[in-house]
Amino acid sequence: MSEDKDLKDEMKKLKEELQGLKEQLREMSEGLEHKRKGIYIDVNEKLSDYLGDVMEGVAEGIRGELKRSIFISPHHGEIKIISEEKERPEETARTDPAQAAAIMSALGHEHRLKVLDELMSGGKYISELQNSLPEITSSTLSSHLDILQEAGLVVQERVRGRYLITIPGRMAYKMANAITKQRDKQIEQRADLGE
Amino acid sequence: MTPKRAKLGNEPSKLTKDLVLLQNEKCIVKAFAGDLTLPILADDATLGYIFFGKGRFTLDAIVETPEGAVGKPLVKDLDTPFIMLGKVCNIANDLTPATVHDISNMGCRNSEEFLAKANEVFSRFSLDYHTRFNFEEDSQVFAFANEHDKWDMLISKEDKLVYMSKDKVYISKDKAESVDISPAGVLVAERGKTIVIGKNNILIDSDDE
Repeated sequence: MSEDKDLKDEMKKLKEELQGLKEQLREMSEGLEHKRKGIYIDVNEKLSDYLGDVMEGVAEGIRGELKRSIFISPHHGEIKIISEEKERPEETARTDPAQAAAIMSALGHEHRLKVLDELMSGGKYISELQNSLPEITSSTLSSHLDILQEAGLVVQERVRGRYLITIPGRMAYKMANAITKQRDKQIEQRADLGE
Repeated sequence: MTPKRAKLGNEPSKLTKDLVLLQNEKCIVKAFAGDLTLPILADDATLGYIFFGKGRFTLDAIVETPEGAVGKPLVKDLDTPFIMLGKVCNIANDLTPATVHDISNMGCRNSEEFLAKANEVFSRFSLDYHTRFNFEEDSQVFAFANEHDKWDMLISKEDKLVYMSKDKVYISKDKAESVDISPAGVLVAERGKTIVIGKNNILIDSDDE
């Protein structure tokens, strides 16, 4: 009787061990299956890898461009690095006069220059522009903003609705100021000379 | 959070009104009334939804630099399926069971055909990205099927935003840090410092005195 019981116990143990081994085998093959098919991808891990690749690409681009760039002109916290290896087509090619005229035309209004001046200090909602420029009616202001946007001097956010001055917008505004200052200087000089 | 194997629910519902699925300072994702949707389920939890119908995605892919703003808003009218995952807004109260008429409006003869189509789209997404989902609970992920049979991805978490499509990558963090990569060039802006790599030039700019 006791031998029978021992045998049964042994059989039970063996069955349990066998079951355990089957479980392990199943888990291992599932793991292998996942690895083989690439089924499990953690989205956060994927994103980190992706961003890592992007940033590496950016750094590589910067290194490559710096190698080709020689002339550095720092002024007022700004450094412009210009490639000297090849002549840049934008500097030698003529600008389309029609496009240039459209941009100059967008600049050619006192109100629009005032709008650009307001935007030089940062993005603004139309209500803020209206408050700062009470001499311009709201419909006229909208029309001026449309013209500035059309010329690429201003961009409007779709979500928040703020108006922002673009890089060409800043350049255009600075250019208008520089020309005006230069002309005033010349007038002063002529006056001093008694012309 | 344990990765979960996800599947689609099998009862199509219809949106009863236009819904804003995501809105922050940089982007808005909308689904419109009449869209059909199925929940994406894992165990008993709803991980997200797949939408069929119309939607609109707006992203202000604009970077403010000391020299002026760069970039422009991106507005996409969605008429291909799109998926919302992660921290999903509660849309259950704005859903009603889809009728045969609603399903036929989506170009399917019956519910089975619609489910088959939806599962085919979801399987494609799963194969492209993942069949198990492991999102942080406070992040929201959108996938928009594009014309190249791929997915444009939008990931939003607190003040961080990532958008990836075939011709644009835009990353924004905390207003002060942005990366924009497009055929026009690469722009990296971080707290007043900017690097712009254009087709023919490179500009490094800093507002530090």
